[in-house]
Amino acid sequence: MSQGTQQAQASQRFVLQLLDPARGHAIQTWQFDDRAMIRIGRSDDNDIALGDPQVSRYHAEVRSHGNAWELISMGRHGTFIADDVVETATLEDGAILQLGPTGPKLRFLLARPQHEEETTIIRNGPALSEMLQLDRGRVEQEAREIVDSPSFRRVQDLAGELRKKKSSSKDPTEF
Amino acid sequence: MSKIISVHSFRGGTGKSNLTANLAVAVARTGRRVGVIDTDIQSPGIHVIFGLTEDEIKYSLNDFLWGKCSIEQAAYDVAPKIQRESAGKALVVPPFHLIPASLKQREIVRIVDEGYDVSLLNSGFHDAIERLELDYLFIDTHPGVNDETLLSIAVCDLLLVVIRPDNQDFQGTAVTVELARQLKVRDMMMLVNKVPPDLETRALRGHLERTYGMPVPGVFTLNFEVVQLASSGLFSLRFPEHPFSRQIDIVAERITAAPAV
Ligand SMILES: Nc1ncnc2c1ncn2[C@@H]1O[C@H](COP(=O)(O)OP(=O)(O)OP(=O)(O)O)[C@@H](O)[C@H]1O
Ligand SMILES: [Mg+2]
Repeated sequence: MSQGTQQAQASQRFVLQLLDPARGHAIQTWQFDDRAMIRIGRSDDNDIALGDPQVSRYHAEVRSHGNAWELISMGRHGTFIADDVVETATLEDGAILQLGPTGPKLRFLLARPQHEEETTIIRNGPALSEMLQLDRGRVEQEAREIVDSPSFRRVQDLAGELRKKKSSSKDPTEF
Repeated sequence: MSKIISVHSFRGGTGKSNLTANLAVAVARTGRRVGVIDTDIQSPGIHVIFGLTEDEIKYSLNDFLWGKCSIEQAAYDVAPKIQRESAGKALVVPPFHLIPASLKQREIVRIVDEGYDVSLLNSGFHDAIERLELDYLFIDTHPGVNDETLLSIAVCDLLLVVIRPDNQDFQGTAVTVELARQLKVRDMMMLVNKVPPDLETRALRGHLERTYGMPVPGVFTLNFEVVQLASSGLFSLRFPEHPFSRQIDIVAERITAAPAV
């Protein structure tokens, strides 16, 4: 992937909404910013992971293609747009994809969603686990230094006494 | 059975005071008698959120620690102020006691310089619970690790650790959590505040729960409305439908649902 294509994607945003099977309203919304490609499937490492038996572990991808977004289906049970099974298709704004003949439905939108708080935003930054990391060795060492200090010992002893007092004050004669 | 809840963060400015005030009020709304004590003697602040002004404060926690008054003399019933905060809707809460620390610079300097007997602080907690008949006592602590903070961790029934998704908070918080475990803290939960709105909440919660080994019932996003209120009131009463307020309700429910120790 060249620097150029990534930059070209930066302004393109899209949203996928999981639709309620009975009533058709959005029950979950994912917004994708700055992404050249996303994956949909049953496996946890997809951008949209759906635990439905009709969904294959890696069921479909949405990839940027020129100025548009393209769906690539890989699922065993197929992907349907307007009742047609598709292998690759350019996604129109508002298109509804169905994963498997009677599986979950997703709506594709180029616009922003209206309800911010029910949105799951996937950003293309570093993974959380890389961003927020602990140096466990250092944590232990720092904690040990404090625990070994006289003032910590004092508090620890005091807390121990206070707890003893507290539990002995539960003596029925006190109440 | 009454409960002591300590709210702590490794670094300052994480939102401890605002979270404490809003959680305490949410618990009081369920009919419990609640007290809040400001043990952040060096930089007191929670009284501002409740609208308690300097001229209303005759005695403070400092006076209690100097033996000048009893703890209940340093307690102010702010229930009427809380009721006034509720936008339009009638709200009734039981007596709600706020125990502020002194706002007088001279008194702050003196207590920081001279120090005080931390076991007296513990007596203050227990006197407050007994004499004000509290169901819950919330302790707003000074950030970082010092004697009074360690003591309030050691004697509480539940420690709420406040963190921001920031690497500086991350490492220091792990040290504090380790110390809390050494002090045999009874129960711990984590609240994450000031989360950038584009961070995925579930992934963040999972990552924190795995890293620190405790539940993270509240995830609060960084938002303009809280900034704008600038600690001048109780956010969750003014904006009850806001996602921030809904997280407050979830955490408060979790606090009151926990079995008595
Ligand atoms: N979720 C939030 N979004 C935006 N601003 C917030 C949020 N939570 C708290 N703040 C703001 O951050 C500032 C610090 O909050 P607060 O005083 O509650 O933190 P603190 O941890 O008690 O600080 P200190 O360590 O100084 O006692 C306040 O101006 C408050 O309005
Ligand atoms: Mg504070």
